Amino acid sequence: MKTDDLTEAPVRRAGRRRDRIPLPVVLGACGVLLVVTMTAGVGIGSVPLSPAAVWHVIVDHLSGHPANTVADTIVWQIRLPRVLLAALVGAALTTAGTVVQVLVRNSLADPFLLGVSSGASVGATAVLLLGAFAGLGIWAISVGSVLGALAAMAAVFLVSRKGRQLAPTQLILCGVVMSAMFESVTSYLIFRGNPQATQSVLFWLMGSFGLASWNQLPIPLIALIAVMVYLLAQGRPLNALAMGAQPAASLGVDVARLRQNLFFATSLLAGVAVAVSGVIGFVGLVVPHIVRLVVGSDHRRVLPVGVLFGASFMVLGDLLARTIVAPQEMPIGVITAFIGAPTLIFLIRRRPYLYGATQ
Amino acid sequence: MSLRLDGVCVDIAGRRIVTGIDITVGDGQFVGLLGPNGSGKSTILKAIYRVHRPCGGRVLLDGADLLAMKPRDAARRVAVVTQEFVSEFDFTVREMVMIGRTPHKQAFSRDTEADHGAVDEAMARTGCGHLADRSFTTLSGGEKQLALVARALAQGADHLVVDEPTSHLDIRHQVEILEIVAGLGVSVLAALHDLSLAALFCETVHLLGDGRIVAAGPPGAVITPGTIRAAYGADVLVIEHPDTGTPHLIPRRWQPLADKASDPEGHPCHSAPDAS
Repeated sequence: MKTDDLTEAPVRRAGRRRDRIPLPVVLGACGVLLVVTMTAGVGIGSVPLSPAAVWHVIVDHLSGHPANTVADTIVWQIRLPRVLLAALVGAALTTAGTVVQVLVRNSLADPFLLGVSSGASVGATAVLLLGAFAGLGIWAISVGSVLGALAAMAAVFLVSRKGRQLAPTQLILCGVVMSAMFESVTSYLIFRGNPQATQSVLFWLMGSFGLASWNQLPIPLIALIAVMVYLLAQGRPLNALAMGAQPAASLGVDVARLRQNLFFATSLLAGVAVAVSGVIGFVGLVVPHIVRLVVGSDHRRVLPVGVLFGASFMVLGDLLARTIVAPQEMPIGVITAFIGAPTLIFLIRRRPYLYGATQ
Repeated sequence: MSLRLDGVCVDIAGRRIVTGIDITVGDGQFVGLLGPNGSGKSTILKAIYRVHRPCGGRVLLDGADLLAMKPRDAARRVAVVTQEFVSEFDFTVREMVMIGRTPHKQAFSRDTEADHGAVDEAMARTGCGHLADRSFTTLSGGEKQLALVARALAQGADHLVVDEPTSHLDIRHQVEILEIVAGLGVSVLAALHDLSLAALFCETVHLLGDGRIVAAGPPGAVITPGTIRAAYGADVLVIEHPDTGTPHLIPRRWQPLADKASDPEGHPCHSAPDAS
């Protein structure tokens, strides 16, 4: 416009054109990235394996003729389930983060905002320190954390509901307050527990894929697929909701119902992720922003790209977590926060208007 | 094609906000909703687009109950332009306008040629085609409002509900937005802040005071010093617009300046004989 204020011109020009890269290109690139990171994730370790060796084992198994070699055991029994679990959790947390940011219309929201992780922590801590659900064996922690997550989710949902409405501000407030409450319960349990068990609680709280096994994969996979199908069907209403509740209503979206469904979808994904891997921070916060930076905010693009990129990001994070201080293993939360925090700061500095600083 | 509010009242948090609202927007008419801050203009509009549910009265579209229609079907007939600040999400103008197609699309359906055509046409008619690939968040206030009108247009509705589209805009963009909206050929119900501007564009205006319509009719009949004092508690002079003869407001100071007050006959006002 001719009337543009001259002093604002340089700022404007920075965001002048958005040429969107075609979606198939981005999806293809992210797909390749995921295959490469997963191959690396399986190949690299105390016994290094070449990509060819890795794929040889996988092809052998898929064709039904597994070889009885050391490489086979390492790939199929140990590393592949771990890498697949990392990929699933990365995809789930990224999806949950993307959706929760729309749900509360705040770019600094993350999947754990709604209390799921702190509730799960109470459950897992109770299992680890008090021996709750001991009869369930290796499933005890998962069951405990899922129950904790459900309780927290129900509490936040009921407290923040006003009639049929889940208002963003209420959700944020209730989520933060409930999280603080649950965290205090966790702290109390740790304070009362014995030092050795406390060690494993701390490790769990920072997240790890160290206990990955094949039978942990189906539940997160089913949850992810179910939620993704629903979200992709709701791509346009999601975009409308990103505009705000009232514009969405004027576009024919049933806002109250959509928000409720989004709340349950994100809680489900975050809860499942926490149950299998502990509380892995920053992925659900940062990866959606990186994806939006590349493909824009249209959720029909953000969601599928986020799944692939979030999966790659987590596989890479897990690879670093177990190789940097090998033979010891670092909690993956340390890695994701260490990569995530500077990335986020970089993004905020580069694109200030993304974070509501334009006005 | 008409939009009719018949005795609509709205409660928010147990408090009556507006009551007994009767408004008719005829085919292609531009109807204004005027009134002081907090008089219920936005509340009435939100009752039309389902943010508030009326506790009484009916909203009729061509005689049928608009609020009983499916939200999608209603959105295909009635589009809304509000003040919006999307700062968290980075949509281009084209993507923004495409969101207007939402009520026409099923789950999983792709953007068709028809959708792109509707989006291009909406941007062309509102003169924001050159902004298509700009990020919405980087636009000026006037440009944002143009894009929002384009989105409403892409919605393909024959009724437009407009909530204070011109506040915060400079004089050029105020006129531009209203000129574009008036030229769309759709029926318009607009809440407007600026009474003089409303008089310039509206065929009929409804003046709200304290949740009720206190005056309705052509702008010349509704916008008088007497009704303005009753509704706003403000003392104004009303003159005729030299081009159109529509009422034009001139605000007055509470306390006349000492030197100017000595010459009360000096001002060019030929109206407001009953102003004190």
